[in-house]
Amino acid sequence: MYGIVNKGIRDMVIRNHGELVWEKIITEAGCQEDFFMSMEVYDDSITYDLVGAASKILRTPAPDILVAFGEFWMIFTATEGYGNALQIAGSTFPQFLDQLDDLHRRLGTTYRELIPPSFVCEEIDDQTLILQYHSHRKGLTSLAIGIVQGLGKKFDMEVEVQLIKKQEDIGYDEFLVKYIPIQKETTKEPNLNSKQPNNEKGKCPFSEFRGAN
Amino acid sequence: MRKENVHLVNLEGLTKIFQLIDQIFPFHIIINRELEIVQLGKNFKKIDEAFAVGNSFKDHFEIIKPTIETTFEGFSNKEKEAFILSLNEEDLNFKGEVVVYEEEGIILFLGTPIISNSEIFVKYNISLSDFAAYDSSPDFLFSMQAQENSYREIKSLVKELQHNKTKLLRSNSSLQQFAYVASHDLQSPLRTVVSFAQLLEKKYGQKIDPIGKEYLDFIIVGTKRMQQLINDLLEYAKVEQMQSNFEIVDINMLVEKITFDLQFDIKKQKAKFEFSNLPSIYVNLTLIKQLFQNLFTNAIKFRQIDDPIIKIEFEETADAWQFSVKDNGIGFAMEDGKKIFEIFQRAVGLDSYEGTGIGLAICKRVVEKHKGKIWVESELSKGSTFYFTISKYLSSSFK
Ligand code: HEM
Repeated sequence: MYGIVNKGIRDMVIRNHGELVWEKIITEAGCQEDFFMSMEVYDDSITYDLVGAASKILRTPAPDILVAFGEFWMIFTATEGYGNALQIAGSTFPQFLDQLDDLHRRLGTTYRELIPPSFVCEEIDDQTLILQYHSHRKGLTSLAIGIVQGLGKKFDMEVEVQLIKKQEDIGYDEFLVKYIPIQKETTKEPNLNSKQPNNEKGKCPFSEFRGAN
Repeated sequence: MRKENVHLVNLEGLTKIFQLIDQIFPFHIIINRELEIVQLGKNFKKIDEAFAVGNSFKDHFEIIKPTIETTFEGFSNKEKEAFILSLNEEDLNFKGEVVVYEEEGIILFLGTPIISNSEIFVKYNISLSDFAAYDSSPDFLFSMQAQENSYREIKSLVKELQHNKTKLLRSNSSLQQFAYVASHDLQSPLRTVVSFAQLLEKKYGQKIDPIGKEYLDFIIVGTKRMQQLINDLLEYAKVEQMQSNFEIVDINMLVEKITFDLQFDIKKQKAKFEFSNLPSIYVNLTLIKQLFQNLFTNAIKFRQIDDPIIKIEFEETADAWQFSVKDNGIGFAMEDGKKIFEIFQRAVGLDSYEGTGIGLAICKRVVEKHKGKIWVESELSKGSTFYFTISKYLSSSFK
């Protein structure tokens, strides 16, 4: 995967847990370098190793790390200069999901070795949709869930993502996505996913593990 | 060609084509001879509600390029050229070309917005899906962002590199200073310790019991060893601090000169040196002399029963001069192969030989200052061969 992905993981860890924890993670992952160039392609195994190491060091299940990273991805890409690109990729939550392939395809003219996922979006009603996630990679279901949740936050939506069909069974994942606009006044966070700790916008859900070693 | 084709279709037939055009060129404009808008790409309504069929082209657009009169004929004359249209009093421009259907009296502008920043998208309510799949103009935005991003990344890396370099230089220079302090300022108090210990032995030796005398001996031996270490450190620090130039040196002559300087040891140990046809190369004379001298001294010192034979050979590679110094001495186990080039590190089993283990560390620094590498091949009691390279591409001086 392109370095920007690993760089995102690094950024998230450093932001929430500091440089020292990141050092521990790359040592645990047996990583040769601690900096990733966004436009350079790295072996996928590095990304998986980083997630595995983060899971061990932060004592958090790997899927939770992936969800957290997925949510962070939306904040990170915006800070990496893609905020504008995100603005043009759809003006509503369902429209954005519908255009994800177009987004990755257009990114692909710059990131020439991109192996992007593909999403098929079917709107059920104005608060529900079914999202198919086709990936050339394995084990990234939680990442996709996290990104979709992060995307929902961008649109001030309460989003609940439920995995209804699995890649290992049918070759791709299928999610039932429910979304309703967040009532601005009520600050109480929705019960997103029972496994997920509630979190504020921009805060890594496993930051409560700060200082874990 | 095009005009002939149109001959075959009537205007009714054209409506189908117009629909097709709208799909492929969602930002197209069709105007008639009077320059009234006949059809507009579906995205124009999103940009501005005021767009409508029947309006005058001139009410909405201005031609930036090429310079023409805004008339039907004006367009006809520039059919093959690139057009840039601007929305009147807006910062949105379109690039494209025009196709003129003379007989039907219509002009097609086939184009797309010029995307210079994403604010344009937001301001005019355009999104990625408004572009035909083949149209790569929005991709430009991504590539621009990737480029900016990479540029920022490189800038911050360079900054970090510079920061580290400054830190390194600072710690290097304080290390050198330390070496200087250690080797220079420590010498005099140490000399005092040695001389007073010796004085103590001389003047009061009779009054001290045998155990006390033994202790005194330990003090003298220990401090002398310390003096030796400090002197070696000073030698090493000198290599570090040396700032000098490269010059062409005849290595044959240099080796002869060194063997002449070492003649006392050579005769004593019945050592034989074999070399011929060594080249003249661009090096720092003082340092290279020290390098060969250290290797030769080792080769003589670590001898076996047989008389030492030392062979110096040379080979030219693509970008370096490679030398080897081979001996028939005691050799050592290759596990120590890397360690022996570190300061004060020696191969196992050499404790009975004099020395501190600075010689090869100096050799390594000398070679590094010539952008080369040094390594060794050895086997216990079978002798050693030291190899080193000197880069062919040295700039005229070094620090
Ligand atoms: C501007 C925003 C975005 C950028 C720059 C971006 C870029 C990327 C990049 C570089 C990769 C790695 C693929 C590779 O290197 O081969 C990737 C993968 C992925 N992206 Fe995006 N992406 C963006 C938005 C999104 C959004 C909104 C989603 C929503 C679900 C998404 C879903 C995914 C997933 C699930 C993967 C995992 C790869 C896989 O399954 O093989 N991305 N993206």
